[in-house]
Amino acid sequence: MQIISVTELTRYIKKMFETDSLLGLIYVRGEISNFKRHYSGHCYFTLKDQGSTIRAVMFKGRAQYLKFAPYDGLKVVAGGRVTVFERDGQYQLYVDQLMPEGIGELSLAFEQLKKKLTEEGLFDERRKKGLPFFPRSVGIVTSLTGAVLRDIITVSKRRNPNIALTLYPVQVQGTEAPMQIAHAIEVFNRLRSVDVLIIGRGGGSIEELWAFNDEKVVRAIAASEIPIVSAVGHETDYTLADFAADYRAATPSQAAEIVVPDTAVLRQRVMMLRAGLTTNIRALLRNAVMHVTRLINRRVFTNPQDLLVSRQQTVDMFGQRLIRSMQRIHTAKQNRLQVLSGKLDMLSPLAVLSRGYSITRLPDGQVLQSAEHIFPGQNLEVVLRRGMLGVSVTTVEKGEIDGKK
Amino acid sequence: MAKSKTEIKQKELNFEEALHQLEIIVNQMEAGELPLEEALTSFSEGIRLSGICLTKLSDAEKVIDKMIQEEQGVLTEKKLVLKGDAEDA
Repeated sequence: MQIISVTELTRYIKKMFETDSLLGLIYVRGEISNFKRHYSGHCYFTLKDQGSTIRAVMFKGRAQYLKFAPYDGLKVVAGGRVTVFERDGQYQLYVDQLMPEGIGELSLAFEQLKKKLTEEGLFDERRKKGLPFFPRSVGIVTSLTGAVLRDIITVSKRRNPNIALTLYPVQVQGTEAPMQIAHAIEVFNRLRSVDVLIIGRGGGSIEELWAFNDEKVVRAIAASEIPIVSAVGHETDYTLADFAADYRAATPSQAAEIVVPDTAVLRQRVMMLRAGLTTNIRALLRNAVMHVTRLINRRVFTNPQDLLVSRQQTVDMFGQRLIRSMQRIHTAKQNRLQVLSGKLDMLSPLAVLSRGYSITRLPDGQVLQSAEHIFPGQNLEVVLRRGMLGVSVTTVEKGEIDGKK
Repeated sequence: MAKSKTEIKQKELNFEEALHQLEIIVNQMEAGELPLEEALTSFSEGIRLSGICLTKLSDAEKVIDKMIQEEQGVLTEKKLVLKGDAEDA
């Protein structure tokens, strides 16, 4: 009987594992559980299915290239070798590759990052900035080679020959691409030399577009204070850069159309407004002139004498009425005067005298009606119709006189 | 205070602001409710604004398209030339 130590036994078993043709490179399908990423960067988890479990480890050197974050319950295919961890006497799967089952690794990574950044609010519509209406300068982050730059330049210059373009050339795919793109966005934000940014690349596979799903790039876009229009891939390709950008264009040409307004169209609009202005002021002045003309043509201005004529008529009318009234009053008064004169005539002593009577009176003017107090020799006056007599009384007879003597 | 106010007033309008104000003026005049004197003032202001807009549209200042790059904190700037242009020429 041969007696060996634990270590010797373990080494023997390990050697059996490592010389096995199957266990050297094996792909295992299972579900991740107890996933732990150690601070060292190594990942420890268990792969299980309905019947069994196996411990698995993925070292940092491999795990750092994982595009998605493994989590418990995720069904995966793990590729690697099975061997023994001598200290614990445990066999485990040393994972070199880890692939989500059913969905591609990249789509899983995409969904995961999208979820994470959505939760952070990086894609919120509220964060989106408006594009400048009339930018003077446009920054472009894309490859120096390729149709994208040419399309953007051609369309921009056609719409506005005076637009100033600044390219920050970057690699748009490959491991360097995300860092370069993010850096370019940061540099533009630092310089503040452009009004708006276009970030893009032409169409390609999901792997080729991958830089635009990189967290660094997406965060740089979201953090940019310069508005960004993204134009990545074809119309049907959506990258996280598109979600974070303030505006997504389907193509680089469309990005240029969105960013650079057509100066010919704008000029036309200004000319139309200007023409409208002139038409308006002309109409306004014409109306004003017409209004004034209408007023000037009123009779008061054209025939001012009319005003006098009518007033003259009034004056005349009143004058005539005045004269007529005066005449009427005059006639009436005259008639009245005649009546009164007639009456007066009849009452007048002169009328009596003219009939042959005379008036006898004392020298002091007292009219005598009686012979009483009269004595012969007294001087009296006798008033006739024509003339007057100074007489001396010869006789006096007192008493009534019948008049017929 | 007063000085800064006039400075703001005298600050050059950009195209968008000038166009916006021009549109407001045209709308006001089209409504036809402005007294004649105000309409005349608005008219000359409108002509001035449209002049600003047209000038800005045809600004003939020389535009140079650039290419910038920053490596190790050093910013380089050169004229932007499309690859292939050299061959075309």
